[in-house]
Amino acid sequence: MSDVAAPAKRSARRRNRVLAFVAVAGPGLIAANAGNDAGGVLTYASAGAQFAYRSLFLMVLVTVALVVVQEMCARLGAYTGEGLGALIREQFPVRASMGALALLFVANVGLTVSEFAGIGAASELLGVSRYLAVPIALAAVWGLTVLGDYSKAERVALLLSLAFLAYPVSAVLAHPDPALVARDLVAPHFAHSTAFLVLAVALIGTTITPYMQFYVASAVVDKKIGPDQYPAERVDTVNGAILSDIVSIFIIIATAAAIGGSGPLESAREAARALEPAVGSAAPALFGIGLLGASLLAAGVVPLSTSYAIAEAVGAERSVSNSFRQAPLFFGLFTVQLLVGAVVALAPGNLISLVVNMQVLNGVITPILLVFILMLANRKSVLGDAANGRLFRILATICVATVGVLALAVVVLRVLGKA
Amino acid sequence: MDVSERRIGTLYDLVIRWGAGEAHPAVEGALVRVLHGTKFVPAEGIVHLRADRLQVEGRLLEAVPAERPAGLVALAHDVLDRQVVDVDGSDVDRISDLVLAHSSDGLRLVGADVSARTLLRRLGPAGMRRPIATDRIYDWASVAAFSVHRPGEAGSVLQLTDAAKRLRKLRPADLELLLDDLPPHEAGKLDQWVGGGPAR
Repeated sequence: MSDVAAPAKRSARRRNRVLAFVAVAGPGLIAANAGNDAGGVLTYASAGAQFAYRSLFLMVLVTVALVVVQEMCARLGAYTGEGLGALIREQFPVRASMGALALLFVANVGLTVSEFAGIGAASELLGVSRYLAVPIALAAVWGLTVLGDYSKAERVALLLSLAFLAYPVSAVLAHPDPALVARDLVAPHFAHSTAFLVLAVALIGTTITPYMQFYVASAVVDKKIGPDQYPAERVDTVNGAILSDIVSIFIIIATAAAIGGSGPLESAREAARALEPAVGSAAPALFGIGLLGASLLAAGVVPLSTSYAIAEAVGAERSVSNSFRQAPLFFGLFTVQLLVGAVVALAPGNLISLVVNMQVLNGVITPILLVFILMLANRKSVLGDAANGRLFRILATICVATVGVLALAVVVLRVLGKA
Repeated sequence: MDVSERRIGTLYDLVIRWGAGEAHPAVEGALVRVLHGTKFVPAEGIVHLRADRLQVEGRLLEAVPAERPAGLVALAHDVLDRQVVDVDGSDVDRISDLVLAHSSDGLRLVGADVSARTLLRRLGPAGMRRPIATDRIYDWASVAAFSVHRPGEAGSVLQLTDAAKRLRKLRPADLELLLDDLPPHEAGKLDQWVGGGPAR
C-alpha cells in the first residue's frame, strides 16, 4: 500500500513546491532582472569592449555578493513585515537613517534618468525618435503603475527583456576562445589600471544596486510574503540573482568576442554589434527591444523603490495596489522621479557617458547602504532565529568590505583627479 | 545629574506601563547609561526632567534588559519612530517625538508628535532644538492598541481609535483642550512640555 502511495505523495509534494514558488515568484526575479537595465547592459557591454574577458572573474564574485545581499533583504522583508526604509528608521539613529535615505534618493533619481536615457537609445535603434518614445514611455509607466494593473505591466516588461537571451546565443555564435573565457571566469586577475578599477566599481554599482535591495524587501512585504512562504521566496531571489548575472556574463562575453579591445563604448548601436553573430543585421532591432524592455521595467522599479523607502520611513501608506488618493506621498514621489528622469534624459549630451557615470555613483553609495542591511540582518533583535548565522555573517561582511574598499579607492582616485 | 548637579550618566530611555487602563500612562522610571552599563531610576527618584537634563535622587537600580517585565514599554526603544496605523489598519504616520506632561502625580505620556517639522528638528544640532516645535500631535488617549516588537516579527505598531480621526491633528493651541480631557486623577496643571524620549 505504501509503495503505491509513495510516488503520488512525492508528486503532490513536488506540485505543492512548484505552486508555492509560482505563488511568490516575482520580487526577487523582478528586482534582479531590473538590474540588467540600460545602465547594466551598457556597463557590461563597455566592460567587454574595453577589457574583453578580463572582468569575468569579477562578475563571478559580484554574483556571489548579489545572491548574499538580495537574500538578506528578502529575508528581512519576510520575517519583519517591514521594508528597509522602515527598518532603517526604526533601528538606527534618525540622522543616519535620513542620511541613508537621502543617498538612496540621489542614486535613484540618477538611475531613473539613465533608464529613460536607455529608453531613448533603444527607441532610436528601432527607428523612433526619443523625443516621441520617452514621453510615451513616461505616460505608459506612470499610467500602468498608478492607474492600471502593476503586476501585469511588470510581466510585460519582463517578457520584453527576454530579448536579452539572444546574448547567450550570440556569445556562442561569436566563437569566443573557450579556454580564455574559462580561465578568466575562474582565475583571479585584475588589470592594473585606473580605468579597470573604475569599471569594477561601475560593475558592482550596476549589479548590486541599492534600489534592488530596497525593492525586493518592500515588494516581499507588499505581497504579504511571510516566514511560511519564505523558502519559496528565497528560491525566487537566489534564482533571480543568478539568472540575471548569467545574462550579464554573456553580455560581456558576446561583446568581448565581437568588439573586445576596441575601447569604451560610444553608443548603444556599438553595444548592439555584439548580437550580430546571432541575428545578423537584426542585431540593432533585437538589442533595442531588449534594452527597451529592461529600461521600462527598471523605469518603474527604480522610482518605486525610492517611494517605498521614503513612505516607509515617514510611515505613510505605500502599496502599488493603493490608489493615488490612498497613497499620495508614495505615488507623488513616484511621479516626480519619473518626470525628472524623462526631462533630463531628453536633454542633449552623451547619454552613454551619463549612464555609466550613474553606475559609478551607485557603486560608491552601495557599500554605505549595504552596511545598514548587513547590520540589520545580523541583529537577533530584528530577525530572531532568522538572523545571519556565523558563516553567513562572515561571508556577507567580506562582500560588503570588498565593495567598500573598491568604492573608496575610486573616490580617492577621483578626488586626486586620476580617475 | 544628581541633586548636587553632578553628571552621573546619559538619559537613555523612559519607561511607561502600558495596559493599566490609564488614558495617559505614568512614567514608571528612566533608563540611564552610566560608565559601567545601564541603570534604572524609578519615577520616585526623578526630581526634574527637562528637554536637556534629568535630575535624579536616590539609589540607581540595576537594569536587566534581557527580561523586561510584561506591560513595561521603553519609549525610545519601542515607540519613537514606530508606525501609527488608523482604525482600519492603514498606515498613517510615524512617531517623530513623544510629548510628556508634568501632572500633580508625576510625569505622564500625553501625546505622540508625528509632524515632519519635528523630524527635521531632530536632524539638527542638539543645541538648536527648541522644547516645542510641533504642529501635529495625537492624544495618547486615542491609541487603541500597541504591539511591542518581537524579533522576527513586524515592528511595534500603534493603532489609533476611531476617535483619533477627529482628534488627530492637534495644534499647540489645542493642547489646553487635551488637558481638559484628562481624567481627574491625571488633570494636574500642565507646567511644562518636554520634547519626549531621548533624541537619537
